[in-house]
Amino acid sequence: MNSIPPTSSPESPSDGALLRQVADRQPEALGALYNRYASTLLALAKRILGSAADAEELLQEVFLHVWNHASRYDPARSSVSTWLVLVTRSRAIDRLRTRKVVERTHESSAQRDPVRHASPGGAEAVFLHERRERVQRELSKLPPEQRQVLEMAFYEGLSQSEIAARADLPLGTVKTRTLLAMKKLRNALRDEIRQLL
Amino acid sequence: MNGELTSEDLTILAALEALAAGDGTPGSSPRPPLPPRPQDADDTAEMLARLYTEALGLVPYELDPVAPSPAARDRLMSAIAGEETRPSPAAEPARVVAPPSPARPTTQEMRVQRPTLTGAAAVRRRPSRWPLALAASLVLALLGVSGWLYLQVDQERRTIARLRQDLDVERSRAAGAQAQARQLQARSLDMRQKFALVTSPAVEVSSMRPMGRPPLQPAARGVLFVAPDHQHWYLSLQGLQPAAGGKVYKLWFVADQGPVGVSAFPAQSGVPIELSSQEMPTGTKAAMITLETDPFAATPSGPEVLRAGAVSPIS
Repeated sequence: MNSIPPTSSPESPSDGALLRQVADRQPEALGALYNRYASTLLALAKRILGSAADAEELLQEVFLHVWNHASRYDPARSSVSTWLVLVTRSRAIDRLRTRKVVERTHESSAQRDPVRHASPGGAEAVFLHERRERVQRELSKLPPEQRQVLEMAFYEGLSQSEIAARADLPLGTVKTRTLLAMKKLRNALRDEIRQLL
Repeated sequence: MNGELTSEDLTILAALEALAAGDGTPGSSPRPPLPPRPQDADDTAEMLARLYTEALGLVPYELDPVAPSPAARDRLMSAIAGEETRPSPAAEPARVVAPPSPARPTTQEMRVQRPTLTGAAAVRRRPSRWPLALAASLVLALLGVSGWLYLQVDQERRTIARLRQDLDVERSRAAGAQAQARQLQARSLDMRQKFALVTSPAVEVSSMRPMGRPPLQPAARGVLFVAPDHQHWYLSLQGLQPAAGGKVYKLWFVADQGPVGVSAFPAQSGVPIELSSQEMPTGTKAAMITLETDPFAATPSGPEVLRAGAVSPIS
């Protein structure tokens, strides 16, 4: 089934249009972007930081960054969705490194904080649900050892050398697993990626 | 491992290293370094980098969404509106005290008091006004100091935000420089390997000649060097004209199971192209270059431009 990307949803403006309005200092545009992506970004921040309170504080920081630097976004480099994800990830990992609480990432925060499921509503909800299902399905197909190195790189911000040291593996093995995982992921999510381009 | 890296592999590793270095915001940082690649293959390399960046951007969608509290959204909207994000309850009584109501007695009080005011009583009541005026002045002064402090805090907050941005920029620059150094090292290694291959006495060589009647690219030609292990190869191309209409050239090895796509690449007039890898499909009998609309096509669909005519010694 074809999914409906937010950039073409008939009842709401595209991500790019919203970001341009944010750059023009229109608060309601930032509110719309927040409604669209906050639950995904908060899940990411919580996955990295392990604390709901820290994650919510970081989310605030990310959207203030968006408010103040929307004009820096370059559509030739990434989609708005990916930009927001990478800003959130980068700041969360910075915060993690600063606090030196790397070990906290291994603890599942799901038991400590109740998970509240967000539903943006309308076509966006359908789109996000489909995207989530597809990404979960494709990631679950990766062999555990490939998924492990991908998660360590993405969620913990570790370099290939650091992953090799942490997992007690040769650097070449880590690179091979990472490359295989990335290529499989790119091929499996080709349709999703095309919608973002 | 390093010897087997293709341009695509280097693109992926560069993207991941940039992420590990904290350069995770493609829209607000210098462009991530691209790996060594055939000259002027910028379009393909950047497209690959973009595809992998988007793939990484989809990873967190595997997580169950977590709804932020409604107060978080309110705080954000208040913050961007330049308001207090968390109004202090302690400040509220100060505003209540500010207009000192005792200084303005009600009409009923005035009616009651007026008949009892004698000259002596009026004299006794007069001093009771200045403490109220003093209190009001103090409250006003406190409000003024509070406002000044708020402005100072706000200014400090802006300074911290600006410094944090500067730090981000510097981190991005450092990451970029490190990645550039790694790129130069990889390119140097790549060149040494190519040199070793083409100067090896056991290397097998096959020329690539124009195909088609008349030939689509009569001036194009290439030389394919294959190491004795039939895995490590190096291809040098010259005279390929830029492909029109958004098409790209694609290299295929014809093996037992049919054509195997190797790499898609653009061409620029007068600029030679070099491709190499340490992997070659088992049973490779020929090599060809086609003109493709889809760089990711699994089988050749476009016209054949060049072919290695006599590559029987390759496999």
